[in-house]
Amino acid sequence: MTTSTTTREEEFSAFVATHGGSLRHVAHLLTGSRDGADDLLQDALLRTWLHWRRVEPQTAWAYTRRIMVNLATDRWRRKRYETVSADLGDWQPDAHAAAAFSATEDRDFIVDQLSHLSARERAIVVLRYYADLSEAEVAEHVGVSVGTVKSTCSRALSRLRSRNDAAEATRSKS
Amino acid sequence: MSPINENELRNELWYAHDGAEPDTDRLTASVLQRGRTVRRNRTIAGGLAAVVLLGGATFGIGSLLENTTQRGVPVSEVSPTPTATTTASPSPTPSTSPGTTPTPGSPTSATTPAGDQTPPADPPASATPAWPDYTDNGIFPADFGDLGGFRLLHEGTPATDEVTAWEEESPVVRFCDQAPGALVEVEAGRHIQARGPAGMGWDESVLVFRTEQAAIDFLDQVRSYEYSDEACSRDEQTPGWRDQWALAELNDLGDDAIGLSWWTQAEVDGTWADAPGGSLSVSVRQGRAVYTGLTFGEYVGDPLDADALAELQPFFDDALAQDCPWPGGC
Repeated sequence: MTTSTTTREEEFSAFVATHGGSLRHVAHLLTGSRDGADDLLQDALLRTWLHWRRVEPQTAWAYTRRIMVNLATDRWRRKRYETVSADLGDWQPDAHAAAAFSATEDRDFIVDQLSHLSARERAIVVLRYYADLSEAEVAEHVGVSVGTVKSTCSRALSRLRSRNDAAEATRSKS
Repeated sequence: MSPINENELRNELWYAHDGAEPDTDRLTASVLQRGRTVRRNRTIAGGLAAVVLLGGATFGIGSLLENTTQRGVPVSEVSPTPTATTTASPSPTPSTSPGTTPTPGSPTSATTPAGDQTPPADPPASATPAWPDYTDNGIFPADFGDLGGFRLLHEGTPATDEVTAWEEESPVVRFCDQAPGALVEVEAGRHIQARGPAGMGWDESVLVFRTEQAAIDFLDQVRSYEYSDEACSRDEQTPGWRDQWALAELNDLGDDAIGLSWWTQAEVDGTWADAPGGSLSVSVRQGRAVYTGLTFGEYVGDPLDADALAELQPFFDDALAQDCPWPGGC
């Protein structure tokens, strides 16, 4: 192993130590599953590492996030990450979930909600509303037009429920 | 139903958490190890993507597996067979050729014919052309010699959102860093490849040898190598990780065919378990040509199965159907 290789490995290790937690959070939002998030994060970091010589330290986080989006929406990899998805038409409020909906401690509430979106829709929502990218930046990240980002966000918002609304729906159902 | 508003969604996404924090030290170690195997895999991929000769009829690859005999696998079981022995040596004036006058051609890139083997610039009409040695320790130009219009299956296939375009690439035909000696007998060849996400890749190639015996020798030399971590990985061995190899004889495919597969294992609680990362190269010989199709990526366990072979089958079907269009045929 050469000195330069050692240095790069140290740089990469520091990057993972600093940003691993936040990247894992994005992976969790993109996949909706713990195991899928772990796999997605590791695969994205692998690709980042393989291109480490060309990755600028200040943009490595965004670079890795972009890779995660690509992988999470990739047709080959979706099965591997076990991305949690649900058919909206089949979805009904869980009669036993009222307490969870009303509890602010239920930090997976929105992850469950995201399962009603496609992998690409979920990626667009996460980039737009969690990463706080502009519509143009999201479009460039995902490889779609700005118009598609706008329409996807609008459609996704209409399909995601607020906690209050979900709790109300649950109470009505029960 | 009232949909969630943008601010509420931002808040929800920010605080959503499954309670799992990554062990960054372990994560980093795993990524670095996988990086080493991917890089090695890419080298192997280029190396394996060399050849095979298919002849005449095509075969259903589904039934191929039923006639497959496989040896090797656990490294410890690989017998330390002798390393390749070169049976062919460069000969400026080949005394035998497959019924045709050899076409020296000219390399299209990179490799320069060895000095004393370079044909004279203006040979006498009656002279037998000298034979250029296209290989540089296993490295070939991406396209060289006269293939008579032969086309690899995915020639010109454009890029998609997920896969690069199929493009020419200079192949490195080495096995555990050894270049089979029979490669000096190659008179024409072509190699293209495409790459997908996360270290996935596909290669197609053809190598045409001067004689059928040279092509036979080539595959025999590939068979003869010792495939082991010690022989192949050298400085890149990592505690807790190892490579596994398998060499399978694929019967009823061309005159001669082999499948060479490689995959990674990791030690988990004292037990070796398959881990992502592997490649499969299938080479088929017919006469003096060898076609090789290769696929690699995050296979878990031995990649040699019916699905992987089926993925390569169209390439072999297409190559066979062209019936060796280069001068002298098969």
